[in-house]
Amino acid sequence: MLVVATVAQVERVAHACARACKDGVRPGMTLAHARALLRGATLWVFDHDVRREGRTLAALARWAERFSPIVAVDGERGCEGAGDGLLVDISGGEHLFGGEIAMAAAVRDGLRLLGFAARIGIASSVGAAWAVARFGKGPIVRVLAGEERRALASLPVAALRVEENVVDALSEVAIRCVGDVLDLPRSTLPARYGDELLHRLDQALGTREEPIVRLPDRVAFTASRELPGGTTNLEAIEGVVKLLLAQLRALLERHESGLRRLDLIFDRLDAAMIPMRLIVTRPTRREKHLWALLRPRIERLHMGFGVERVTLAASHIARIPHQQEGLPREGLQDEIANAIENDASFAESLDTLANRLGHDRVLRIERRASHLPEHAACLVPVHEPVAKLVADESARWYVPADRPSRLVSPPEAVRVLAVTPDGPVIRLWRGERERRVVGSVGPERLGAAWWRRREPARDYFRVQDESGRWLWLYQDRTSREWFVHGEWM
Amino acid sequence: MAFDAQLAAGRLHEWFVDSSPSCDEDHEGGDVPFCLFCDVARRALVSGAFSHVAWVGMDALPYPSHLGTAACRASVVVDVPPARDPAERVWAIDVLARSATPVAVFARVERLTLAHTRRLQLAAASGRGVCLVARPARERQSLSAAATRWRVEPAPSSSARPRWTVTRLRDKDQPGLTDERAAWIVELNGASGLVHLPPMARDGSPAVPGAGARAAS
Repeated sequence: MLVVATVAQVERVAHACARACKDGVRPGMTLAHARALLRGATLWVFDHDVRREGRTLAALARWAERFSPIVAVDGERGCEGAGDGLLVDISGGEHLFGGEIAMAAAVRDGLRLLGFAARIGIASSVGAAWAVARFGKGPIVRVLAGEERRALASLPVAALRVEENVVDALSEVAIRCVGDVLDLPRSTLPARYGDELLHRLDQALGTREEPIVRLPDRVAFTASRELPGGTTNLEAIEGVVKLLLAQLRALLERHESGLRRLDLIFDRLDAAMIPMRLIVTRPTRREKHLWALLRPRIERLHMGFGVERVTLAASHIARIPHQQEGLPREGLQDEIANAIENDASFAESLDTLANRLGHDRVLRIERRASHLPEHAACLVPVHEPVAKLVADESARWYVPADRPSRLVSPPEAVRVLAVTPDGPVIRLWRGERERRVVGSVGPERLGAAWWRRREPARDYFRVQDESGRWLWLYQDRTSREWFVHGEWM
Repeated sequence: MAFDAQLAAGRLHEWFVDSSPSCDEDHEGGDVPFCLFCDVARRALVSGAFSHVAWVGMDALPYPSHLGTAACRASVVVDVPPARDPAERVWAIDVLARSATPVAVFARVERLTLAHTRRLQLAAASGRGVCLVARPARERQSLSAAATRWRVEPAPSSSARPRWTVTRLRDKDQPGLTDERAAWIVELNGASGLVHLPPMARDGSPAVPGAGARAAS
């Protein structure tokens, strides 16, 4: 199978299947030449559709975001500017798949299920990974950090991602491998072959930075309106935003979706763009609610010499299950409808709070699998989705009974008088105040989390002072110091 | 429990913690009855009358391990920093209380004026939730529109369970109420995390010496 592109009225091979490559067909070769090499075989020839290829690669890049948040289409290479690969930044995430090789195998298997064959290169620089993926031996090639020079030495010069004329120029002086280029004096390269060769060489060796620019956020639903000549009239701008909200609602309704994140962009005449971002707790398309959140911000908008365009983009959407409206509600249906409405109403209240106080101030409690009191829970913003792992963990995790109602954080050092060095306590001094202890229960020993860092074990006691107040004391097993860590209030 | 039946929905209820002179009443959260708040939150969720619990102010948030898994899942924490002007916290409580969702709102607020408490009472009445606000003991004489006012004091316990004396100071529905007639000694069950009347009160004897029959109801 051949994919053929017509350039200057000449049909050239853009891509070839493995069988054709085995018979000597190479991208860039004329179709006539390829036919000659494949004489006798059944040949399937397709036109090269650059746009379709680009769309497919973009879809694959979205698919690959399950492996890493930073994925990019390897653009500007191949025929007519279309990308021919994906770049994935796997730093820090490879251990989740059992290592780099296992992760690459998972990517390859996933692509195979989608009907694609893939060659994968892993390296600490984009250039080296690109080179070994296309010119290395085997479907998965890994280059260890610091080994780039050795791994690239035997590869052809084209592996450096340089233009074809540079490859030809080097070939004329019998320089065909990257190793030959590396042997040349660096200072002579720019003058002879241009700046690009040195630039690409440095990128491949990792001495020049080459960041991976991740795909832009998917903007699924956008509504925009121009204001010719611009305006500083607040009422006019408010009217436009309301109009756009109605358009966006209609779009979302058609797709049974709601927005989780809304970007409102004002283009000012003086070329300044003012973005506003709205995040909501649960998917919504209620104009009234969104307008209530946007209005205070729009009132504070600095319009400069005038706003000439307003754009609303729902940059994060989620599906809202279809809800039947207008039917009489009876029995169970009534309860379900009430529950749905209640949740929506509560979410809107939280949005109102978060919009004024900040999203990091409206939080939910997330339990953690830790026996250490200070690590047993944490607070996360409500708009962040609950990780399934955390939810499962929270359901399984054993929660010890009889914990204090208030945790003193950080633990407060106290002086005590104990019957024996290990307790029980009969008198304690919290600051300058002395308290007589009338009851004591314990100890409960909590061991150190040895897998994190070396921490001493603690012996916890519940003690009651003469006023009836209960405190949660512990003794550090190493330093033998005493601390108040909680209270029952 | 006997006293939480008095915590009617759609009302504002104020709580004052009395610390003995030997206690450190000045530290953060020192005047919030966390165990009782947790108990009310748990019972509210279990009864199905409330679907969410909101804690306004980090100083009102109890230790999550004491709160329990189910209550933690239904909880939302609104972190409004303490300030000289309580307006921000009052606004946050107002927004939550007015929600169409039945929410139990727990908060700690200082320097509330009569106007603030009227606003909160109106918010609670217009919504379907209940508001429990902990206030410093020194503000007990201030004017308020709250439906009920409660005082909590630690009580000595011979068992290994913390106890408190809960006194109803005021109930708008029963204007003639006095301290002696509405006081309960309550005890924390460490295993369940719930607050109960101790056995001596359950069998019909007065919860607090001098208290009337209401204590055992």
